Amino acid sequence: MHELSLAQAIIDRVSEDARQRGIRQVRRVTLRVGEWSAVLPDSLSFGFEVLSQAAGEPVAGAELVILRVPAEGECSACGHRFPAGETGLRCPTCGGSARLVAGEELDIESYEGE
Amino acid sequence: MEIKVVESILKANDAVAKANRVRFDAAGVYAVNLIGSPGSGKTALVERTVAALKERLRLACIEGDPYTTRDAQRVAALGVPTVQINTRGGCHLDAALVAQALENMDLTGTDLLLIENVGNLLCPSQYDLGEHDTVVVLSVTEGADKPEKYPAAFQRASAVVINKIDLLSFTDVDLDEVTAAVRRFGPDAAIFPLSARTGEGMEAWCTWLTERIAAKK
Repeated sequence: MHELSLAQAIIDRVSEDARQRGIRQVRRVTLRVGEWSAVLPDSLSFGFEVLSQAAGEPVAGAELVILRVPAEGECSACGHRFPAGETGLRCPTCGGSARLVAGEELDIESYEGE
Repeated sequence: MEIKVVESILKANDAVAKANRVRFDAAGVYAVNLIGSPGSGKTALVERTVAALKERLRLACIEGDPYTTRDAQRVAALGVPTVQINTRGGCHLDAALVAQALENMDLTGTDLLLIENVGNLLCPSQYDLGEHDTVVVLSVTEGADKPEKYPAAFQRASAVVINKIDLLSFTDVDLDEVTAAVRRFGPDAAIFPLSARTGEGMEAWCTWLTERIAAKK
């Protein structure tokens, strides 16, 4: 629901970093977005496309690549790691309670440019 | 040229949240972030909680809503300092909005700050406000499938209030089924079935809050 403001935050962060490094054209920005991050990748891509054009150099025209990260639990009792998307945070092996170790990412992984 | 960044997009929010937490800790305040759907009974729970604890503890409230000051008026009527945040359509509170609200509050001597988030089970789960505990308010009329549909909120919750148990007989929902669904995504959360309307079950919830406050001091 708040993908536009996230898209703007990505653009601001990458633009600032690229300017500092003297990069004039960003070609590609890669994100890691968790299954439980409450973010819709299509909306984020749309927001990025529109707002990066409006932002101009160096991000205008950059491609956004979104790597999805599945939700993953780690059992506090036996250490077993398992996909949490469907089962939730109850260990399927021993029934112990687990904590979420992946799936809430909303990270700028890297960008490419010259 | 590839540049590694590896930085959360929410880093700016997290930094402000951390500053809020430092501020709460310095003032000896225990802060709770209440998350739940519109109409789950968050404000009713705040009202009941304030009424139950205000003679024993010093309370303050922040009310988050897209529009209107209705909730802040309801809570302020109980005689506790209350600040309304209007997000003007925004779907969640963020740490900066809370920091702004704190500018208008004197937290000296406050034991418990209740922050009622915007009614939404999705977006607020991603924004740290600087609270010590996140509490999800789920009403039985919403059905037992909500934890599975909104796992991020439940996995983050220290406690889950299952509200409106006085309406159970009017629904097809079974309390054990709701509890089991909550347990799947918040295996360590304390669970409080209660009715903010009738007051049933409020004692266990208020005891939990009181213990958390004591543990914080």
